[in-house]
Amino acid sequence: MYFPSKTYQVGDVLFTRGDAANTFYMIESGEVDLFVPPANTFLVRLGPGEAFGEQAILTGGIRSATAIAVTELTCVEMTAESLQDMIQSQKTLIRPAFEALLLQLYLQNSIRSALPELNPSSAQA
Amino acid sequence: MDSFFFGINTQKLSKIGAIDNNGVPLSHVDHDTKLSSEEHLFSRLRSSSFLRSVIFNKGQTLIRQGEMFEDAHVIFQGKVRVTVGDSFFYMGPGAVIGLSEGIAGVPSRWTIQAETLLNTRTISIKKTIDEIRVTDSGLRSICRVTVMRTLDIHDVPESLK
Repeated sequence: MYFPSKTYQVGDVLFTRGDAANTFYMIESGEVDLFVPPANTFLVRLGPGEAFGEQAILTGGIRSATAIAVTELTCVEMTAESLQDMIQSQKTLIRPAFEALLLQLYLQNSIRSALPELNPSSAQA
Repeated sequence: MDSFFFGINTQKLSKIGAIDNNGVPLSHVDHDTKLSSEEHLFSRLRSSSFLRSVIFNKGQTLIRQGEMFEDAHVIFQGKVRVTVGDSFFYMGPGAVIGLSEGIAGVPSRWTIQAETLLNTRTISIKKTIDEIRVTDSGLRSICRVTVMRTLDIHDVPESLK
C-alpha cells in the first residue's frame, strides 16, 4: 500500500490542539516538537523512524497537542481511511492483535484521563 | 476511586443490533455510524476467528503486579477488579489486558482479578510478536507507537525495533 510523504519547513504547524485527528505521521527525516496545553508545555522531540498522531487511528478523535516542525521535516502520512483499509486487508492474527492494541490504547487514555494519579504523563498527541 | 469502571457499553450494542442476544456480532454493523471507533473495534474483535475463548471464575487472578504476560486477554463478558497499590478500579467488556505489556516485555503494573464470571478471548504474545516482525512496515510502526503510547514509555522495545 502506498502512503504519500510530505515535507514541512522549520516552524510549520502540522496540527494544533482541537484539530480533527485524521492523519497519522511517520517521520522519514527531520524533527518535530509536540506541545501540550494549557501553557503549551514542551512534551517531546521526535525524529526519524518515530511516529505520532495516533489519535487518527482512533477515528473521531481530536488533537490534544500541537506539533511544530523544528527542522525541515518529511513525514509519511496515513489518513484514518487508509489505515482502516490496511487493517482490513490483514488476514492473519495481526489484524485482531492490532485492533486489540488500539482498543487498549483507547482504554488506557480513558484511565489516564479519569485517574491521572496512576499515570502522571497523560498527554497524547 | 472505587467506583471507577472502564469498558464498552454492551447494552448499547445489543440495543442497536450490533450484537445479537447471545453476544454474537452482526456483520452489517461494520460501517454503522452509530458506533464509536472503540465500539467498532470491540465488535470486530468479537467476530475474529483467531482468538480463543477462556472462562475465569469469580475471584480467580488473571495476573499479579510484577508478573510477565504470556497471553493477553480481551474481556467480552464480566468484570475485573484492578488493584494498584492501595487503590483499585474495575474494567469490563472491551478492556484489553497485557497486550502492550507482553509485546514490550514489561511486567504487569496491576493485579487483576475476576470480579464476576469472566469470558475473555486470548491473544498469544509470542505469535503476535512473530506477526509484527514480518508485517507491513507501516503497520509495524503504528504498532510500535501504539504500544509506546499505551505504556507511556520512550525507549523502543526490543521486539518492535
